[in-house]
Amino acid sequence: MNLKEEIDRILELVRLSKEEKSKYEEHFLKMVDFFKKIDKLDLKDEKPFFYLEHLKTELRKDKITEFKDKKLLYDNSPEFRGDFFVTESPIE
Amino acid sequence: MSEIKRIISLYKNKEQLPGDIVKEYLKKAQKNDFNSFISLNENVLEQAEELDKKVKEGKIEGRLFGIPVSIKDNILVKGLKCTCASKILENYIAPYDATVIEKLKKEDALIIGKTNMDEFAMGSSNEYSAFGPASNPFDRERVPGGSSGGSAISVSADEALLSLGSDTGGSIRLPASFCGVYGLKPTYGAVSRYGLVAFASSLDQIGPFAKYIEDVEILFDIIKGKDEKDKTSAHYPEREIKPSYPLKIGVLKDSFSDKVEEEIKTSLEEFIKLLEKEKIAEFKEFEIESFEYAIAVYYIVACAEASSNLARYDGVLYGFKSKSNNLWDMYEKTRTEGFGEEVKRRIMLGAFVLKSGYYEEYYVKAQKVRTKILKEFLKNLEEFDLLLMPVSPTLPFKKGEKLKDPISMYLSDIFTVSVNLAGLPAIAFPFKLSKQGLPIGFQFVSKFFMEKLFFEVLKKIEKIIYG
Amino acid sequence: MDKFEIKIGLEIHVQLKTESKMFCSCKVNIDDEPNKNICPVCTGQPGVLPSPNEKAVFYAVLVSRALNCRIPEILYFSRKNYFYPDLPKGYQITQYGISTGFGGEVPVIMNGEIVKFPLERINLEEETAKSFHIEGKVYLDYNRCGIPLLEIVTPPCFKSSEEAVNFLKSLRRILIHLSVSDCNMEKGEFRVDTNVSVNIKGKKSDHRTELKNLNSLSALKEGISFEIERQKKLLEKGEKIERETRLWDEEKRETRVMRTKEFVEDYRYFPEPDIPPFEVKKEWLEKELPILPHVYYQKLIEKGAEPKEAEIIISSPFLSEFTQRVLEKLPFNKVKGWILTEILQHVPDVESLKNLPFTSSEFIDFIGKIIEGKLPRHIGQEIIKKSMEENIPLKNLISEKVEIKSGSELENAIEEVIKENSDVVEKIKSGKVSAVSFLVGQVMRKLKGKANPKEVKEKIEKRLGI
Repeated sequence: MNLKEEIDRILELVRLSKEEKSKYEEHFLKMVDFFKKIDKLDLKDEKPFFYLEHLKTELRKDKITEFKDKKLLYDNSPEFRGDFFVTESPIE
Repeated sequence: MSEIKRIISLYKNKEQLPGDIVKEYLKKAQKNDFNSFISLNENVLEQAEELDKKVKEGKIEGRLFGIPVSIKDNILVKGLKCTCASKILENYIAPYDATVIEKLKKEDALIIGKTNMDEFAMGSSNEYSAFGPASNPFDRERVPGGSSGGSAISVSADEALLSLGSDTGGSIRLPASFCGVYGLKPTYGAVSRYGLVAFASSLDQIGPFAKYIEDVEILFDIIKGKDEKDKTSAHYPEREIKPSYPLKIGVLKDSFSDKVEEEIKTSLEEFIKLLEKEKIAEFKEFEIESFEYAIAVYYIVACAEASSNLARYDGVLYGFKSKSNNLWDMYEKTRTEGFGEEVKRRIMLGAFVLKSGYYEEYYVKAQKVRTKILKEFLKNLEEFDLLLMPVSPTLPFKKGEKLKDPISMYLSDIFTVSVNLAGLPAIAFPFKLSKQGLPIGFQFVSKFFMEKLFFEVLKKIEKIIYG
Repeated sequence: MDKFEIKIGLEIHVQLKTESKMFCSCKVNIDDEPNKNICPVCTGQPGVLPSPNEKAVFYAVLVSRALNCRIPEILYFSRKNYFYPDLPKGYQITQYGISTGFGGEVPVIMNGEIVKFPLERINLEEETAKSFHIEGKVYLDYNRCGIPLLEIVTPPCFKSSEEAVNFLKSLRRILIHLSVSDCNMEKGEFRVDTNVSVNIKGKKSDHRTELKNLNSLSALKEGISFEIERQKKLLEKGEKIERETRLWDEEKRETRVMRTKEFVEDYRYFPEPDIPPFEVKKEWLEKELPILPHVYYQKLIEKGAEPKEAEIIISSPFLSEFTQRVLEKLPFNKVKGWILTEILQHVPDVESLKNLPFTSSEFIDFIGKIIEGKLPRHIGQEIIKKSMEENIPLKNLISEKVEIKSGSELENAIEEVIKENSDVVEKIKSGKVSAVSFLVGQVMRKLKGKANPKEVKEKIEKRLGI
């Protein structure tokens, strides 16, 4: 796939409309080109960063805590009926 | 010099009440001359009244007792809207407090309101906001810097005494510098991110804004610390910092490149000479080979993480939802209408660099360069106590100037992004005003968890400059 | 038959039995009112961060050890990015590139033998929300969202639906023995996706049909068999087998193509930045493992159990251990009727048997008395019945009944009854032999059941000269 076809595929994956494609094409292509800069560096001995060394996860003890403000979660929902969050069905 | 301490002693001596002080700040916030606020805390006067009672009873315990604070609108304050300056969250009400907010409330701070920003923290000028651009208090035609524009403005223009913002690639330091105030980006992990709407998880940090360095220190001491809810937060090691003067300060060679405005360069030289004269520091130039790649690396990593972090805005559980009778169409309409252009641009780039076939080539490679950048910084920090460089290559620019070419906007981050990639702490501090009366400031960078060194040195410098 | 090569692979998702969810402290309980066990984290609100559950990691490591997987020293998570209403963050936190367990094998009891089937990997991840669809809308319950999930994947190593189903039975049993899950398939705690590909031997082909909606072991058996036959028929005709996903139709008992437009996802996996790596604790790796069901099975077979009998016993971890202890003192043939019939007839679901109103030593004593003749069988049966039904400890019931009357006490009772029922005795003497049982009953009543009815009958008959 060339880059221009790639744009369509990406718009699909991130759930954005293809109608606006022309707005983003130029910027997208420029940036991808700009990214290629890093090819100039010799990286064969480097490990990818992913996590800072001074960080290690301390696992959480298996205890229950109740979140008391559930109503605030229901209230932010675009549609909440009975006890359920509701939205359009993915099935046709 | 601490405004916090001065005001709290007024309270202790019963010379002022929190209600009175807050009213003054609130008046300005309500006028919103610079569009720095998206929303105000309607209950702040009521909350101040509660504190008034405490003053009368002599119960002044909180370290931020009765101090008006503004909060960037991507940090959740329960019961207040949290919009991230986006249409997609324009009516979202925070169901919980961010950890830093819990800490502020514990210290009896008063929250004035939520400040304007670039949408989802993506921007350097506070022009990408669904609630309109914000203005620089020194010149309304110019930008305040971004993405925490509103936070910097509110402190600069006395709409709040302190502010909390967030910095992913310079979003605290740039507006702090453009608005003539202090802005600290802490060591990655020093401050809990729980309740900060995520942009780039491995780069984001919450940090303080203030007019006086001691106030920055007080606020930072309160918000720092390990949080069980944030596994990327670290236990903050307490250190005794006894700097031996003159310090060894490295000046980034690129500070004097032709990409940097002349006045900034001459001011930097002035600053260096001043510190040399006062025997505060000795200076030497240093270089970072991978520095020129930092922006590319930053945008690859930040956009990748952002594209994933922003997937939750889909109209299902909260936020803006576009009407449709079909889920897939609803997703598409909601996100296309709800997100601004810059956000959509970055989401697309982020998805691209994570996509199979490109992941190794872009994302993994960028993360390798990131390791290189960190190594180079640490090597230099073995030789130097602090590193010095400008915050921005330009003075605060005019509104609209960089909007036509987003990439030119990205280049304003040249001096700030590499620090986020390394996770090191950096502080923007004001130095002087330009000939046109625009703020000029610089930044120090130090080793992990060395914020105290910033505070010590800048206290000294503050005395020299302001007396 | 031989000209075909059949490859079946399985992907199993198991809900782990922790108190709280995988990345937040909400209660794990999908039977509560909808949307009661939720919080900002498991509903993916802006600003939240995941906090991984130590117990869930421990369970994942336990299972990996029990199944002989290689376990890395350091673990981390990854994000799997896609859009669906049951996935609030727009990504699932899972494991990719690294697994809690690599490789490994499952000992499967099949046709009386133990056969080992390979595993590919065991991953730890989070559940999605529950949903149901009505009139173009989907109703979402997030109680389930975020429950810890173990993903167990096999290579395409099974050659028949029997092998696959036996594997699943054994795997379920192992997970139940490890106490990491109840594996209730009806509740969705143990879900299976499968892929089936049939080829003509020697001919290369890369097609793979995924089967979904096989919600019980019997459906899996039928569905896989059906699919094998379907593919065989196509191959016989020389037709192409499409690489597709097919749904099992419970009513029509056939697989059919899923009609939804297949959107090809690109999951854009990358390491989860919100959860730095963590070590697998040494204590977890050194802790003694519980005895696995196939080990119990082998011991039972050695002691004389039939495969079917052994399989029943090992379906309950409690019963496995109980029986093993009993068999240390008693032979299987003396014990099997009591366990398999007398005890289990009071247990509707053997798998869920977790305790009995008596210890194995009490039970051993009890059986001992029956073997020695001190306690009649029928009384023993009553005792067990009462103990199981009313949850009364065995020893309380035994002491009442253990004295069996014999000798002079028995003779006296018989004499008394004969005297008291002279009319019945007349009837018996004049030919109504069946009325002896009435007399037997009277003797039993007089002795409060503490006699052997067979013996009583014989004595009465002798006494009356019949």
